Amino acid sequence: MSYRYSFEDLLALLHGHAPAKVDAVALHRRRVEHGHLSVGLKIHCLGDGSQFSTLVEGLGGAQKILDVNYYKHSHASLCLVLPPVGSARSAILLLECIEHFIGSALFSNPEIQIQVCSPGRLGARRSALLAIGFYLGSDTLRRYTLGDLATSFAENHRYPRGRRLVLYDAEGDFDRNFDWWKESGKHRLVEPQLPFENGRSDLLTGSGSRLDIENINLLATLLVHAQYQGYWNQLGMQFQEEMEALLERHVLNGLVDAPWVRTDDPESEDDDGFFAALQELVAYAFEESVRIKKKGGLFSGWHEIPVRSSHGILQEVQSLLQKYRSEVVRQSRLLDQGGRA
Amino acid sequence: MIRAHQPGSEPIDIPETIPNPVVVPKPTPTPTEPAPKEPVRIPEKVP
Repeated sequence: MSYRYSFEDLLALLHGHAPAKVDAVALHRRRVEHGHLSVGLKIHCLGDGSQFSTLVEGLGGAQKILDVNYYKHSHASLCLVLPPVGSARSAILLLECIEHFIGSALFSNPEIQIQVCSPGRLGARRSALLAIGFYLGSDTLRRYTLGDLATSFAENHRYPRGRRLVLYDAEGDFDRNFDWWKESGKHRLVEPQLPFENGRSDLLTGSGSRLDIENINLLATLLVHAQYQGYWNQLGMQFQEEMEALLERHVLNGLVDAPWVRTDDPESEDDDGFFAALQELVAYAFEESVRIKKKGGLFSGWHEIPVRSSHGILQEVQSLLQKYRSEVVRQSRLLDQGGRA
Repeated sequence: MIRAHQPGSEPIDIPETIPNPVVVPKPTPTPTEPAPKEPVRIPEKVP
């Protein structure tokens, strides 16, 4: 991710508008929480981008910090790349600092599209689970057109990414200096660097929320650890099995075979095949939301219902995410107390 | 908003986004920035 300005310069600029939050970001920028992955962010502005002009000028001007990136959403006036941070919490704080500075909302703003970047390229199947988990776990159910997912790299000759929710990197700059929890025998080994020299799996959330950032960070952590034998490998594999079983119960398991990410495999080129799967997912989720609304208050205690219940896919995904979020924290705290998780 | 039209029928409004009905909305975080400090008042010397 190329951003051509220093993190310190960004924080210095933001400090006057949100001193306490900026201090918190500066203090915890590289702090990784419970072995989760680091978080990168890109902000695509679909409006004229005027709210960012002071910020962009303060960081060195559009030519220096924006034009170096060819990548952006097709309808965006600008794409601001932010330096990666160690946790979803810091990422959210950083966005809040920018909100203070520019004086307008970044979260849940239809003019702003947030791209959440996670280190490590996920394989096709795990990319599908990342996208499906994000979609069903979000606080907003969205309808898409294929054009909503078009970026300047959709048809790029060297790095064709297609029109997808999940996008690989284009081998740009990559900051490896975040802790990676590795399994070594029965122990946790904390490596000071990520095990990837390059490579990311990004998710184009559209109009994103704080919950989306937290969910994507959790999902990516579990799936990347499962793929690259990180400390959460076992938990990640278990999550993958549970997620696939969940989709099977709803007769949606075929969706995972669609090309949710464009890889080097020529068979993954099919934008329409991906979009048909996405539309099926969207239709299923919208139908369920209508069913829930008709049932009214029956679901007030949804969080108390076990994951394997048949109370609907939206509820099951919330429970699944909550279960794994708690489990990662529980096991991590056990480690801190000196025990084996 | 997407509008689906069929000849002879009222257009149907199809929302592009809806809230996920099972997500309990978190309260919007309260601002944590400290209020600007009051200027320090130095008492005038009493002669």
